[in-house]
Amino acid sequence: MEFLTWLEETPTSQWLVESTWAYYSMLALHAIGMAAVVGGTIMLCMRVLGFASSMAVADLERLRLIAWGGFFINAISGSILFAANGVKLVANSMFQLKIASIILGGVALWALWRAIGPNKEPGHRYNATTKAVAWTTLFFWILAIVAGRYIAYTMKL
Amino acid sequence: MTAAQFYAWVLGTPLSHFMVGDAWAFTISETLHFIGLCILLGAMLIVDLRLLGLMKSTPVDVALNFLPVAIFGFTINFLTGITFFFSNPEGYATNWMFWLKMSLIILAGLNALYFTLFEQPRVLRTPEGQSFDAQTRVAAALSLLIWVAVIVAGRLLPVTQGEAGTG
Repeated sequence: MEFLTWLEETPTSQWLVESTWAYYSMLALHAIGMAAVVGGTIMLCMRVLGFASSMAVADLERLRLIAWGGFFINAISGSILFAANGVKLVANSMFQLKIASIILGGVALWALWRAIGPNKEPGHRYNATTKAVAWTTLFFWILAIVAGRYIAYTMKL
Repeated sequence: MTAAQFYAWVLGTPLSHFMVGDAWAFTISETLHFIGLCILLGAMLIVDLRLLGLMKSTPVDVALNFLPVAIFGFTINFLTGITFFFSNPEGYATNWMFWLKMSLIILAGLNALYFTLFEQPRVLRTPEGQSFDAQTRVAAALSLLIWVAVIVAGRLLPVTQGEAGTG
């Protein structure tokens, strides 16, 4: 807790709290990162579930790189946003749910790539297990967005 | 009809009453708007990256199958966007960032229209494995750039919101 209070008093945190431009610019970065991570993930899951089956999953690995870029942007912008308001955020159940969803969504995505294995050619149809992992992945990432959105309503800066 | 009369009309509609009166309506709309944004951008990434010359194991007409997915995402966001506007018409109409966002969306739409009318027929005739010409690639790069700018403008809306309240 002392650490979180200290974080809130750092110049970056103060700047974020005082300047609406700074605060919402950070949120804008966070939204771009979200689109890259969740957008790419939704497309991969749709393909695994049978949409556009002539699409090569090998090509979707390009999105994997972009998704990692988005994740990196959001880890940084998220940390900066967290630092500005850590004391309230750690205690916020929606924030806890969001972080849990991101971790579980990440594990599910890792499991999905494992289940896909070497079968990345166009036209490949995935088995029921792989499809179940794709649904699970979708579920956690959508939940992360829902929980993230509700943080704004369960606490105000 | 003056601006004030227009705002009054909007605020008198059942949709506006619902958006203002229901505690969850705005939040749920906003959540859907975020999900729609991910669907739109994810699908555009596939289409535009394919046109830019990446993802070549996939035939281009298959990548273009993701255009209806993008339109689906856009439709979610168009409808939820209308619900936002109806919750606070004056707040949005007097916010310059809102008009910037709308202009960017129209620009993205014109770019998509140009692509569909002039580039797509040529793209589909291009032999497999061959790169598309510069105009096609410029349109694809612009598309991604403009959609990202739309996200930024949308997220910055509250900053330039005037006295007509947040929305």
